[in-house]
Amino acid sequence: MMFLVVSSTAGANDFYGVRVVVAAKASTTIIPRTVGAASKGFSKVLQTGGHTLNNSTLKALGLTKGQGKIAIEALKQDLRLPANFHGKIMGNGDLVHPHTNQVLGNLFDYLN
Amino acid sequence: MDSEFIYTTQCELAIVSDEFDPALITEELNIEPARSFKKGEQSISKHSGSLITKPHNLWALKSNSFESEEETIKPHIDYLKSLLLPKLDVLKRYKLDERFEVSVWIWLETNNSGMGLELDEEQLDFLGAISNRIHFSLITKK
Repeated sequence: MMFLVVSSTAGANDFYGVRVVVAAKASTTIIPRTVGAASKGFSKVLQTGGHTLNNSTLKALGLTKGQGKIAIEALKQDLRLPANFHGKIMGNGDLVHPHTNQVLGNLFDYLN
Repeated sequence: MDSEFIYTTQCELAIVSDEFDPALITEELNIEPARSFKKGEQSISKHSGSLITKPHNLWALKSNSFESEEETIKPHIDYLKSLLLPKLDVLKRYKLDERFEVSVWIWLETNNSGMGLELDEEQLDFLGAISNRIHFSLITKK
């Protein structure tokens, strides 16, 4: 007998001759929703390069222009990134190195 | 009459290198850094939970942040000069060596809509002698 694990329904049923075993626990795990795209694990690239945060990036992160300016300046100051450094800003606020793909910092960590 | 505008300022000199450990810079300058980190050091972001990796070595000396009604960074430069003038030869060597980058960061915050800042010849000479670049972060809160 073949077993297929699914997580969308509760119970266990025969479906076209295939025994469907339900992983009920997977669907009961609740991931708290946070504000906008800045929630944990959101990994979309919002911006590549540039010395300042674009308006669309600020909007996606839910930051004001003032908050964005403080955060990016503080991050650059902390790491002393060179003037010609062009990283990737992710949907969760992470700054990622364009070549190594290592996370260098997170914008929200620099806001009090 | 008291000014309604406040200027909060801070200066930091940092030496960045891919190759040289901050402990070696501490030893050569005989000055303890205000902060430092090593290339490859890792931490966890409080916000995203991502693993953060330091991209290079860093050794930094910073003045204390203070509030003033005057638009000046003279006390910060005087502080850096008091510590670094005796080490001028070492810093000049770092500045000329491509394996190091020496930068000065000047952080300015104000509740005014802007800020004017003037550096005299002596201050320019000092900063120019020890650093490859100077960055100004001006944060206005109005």
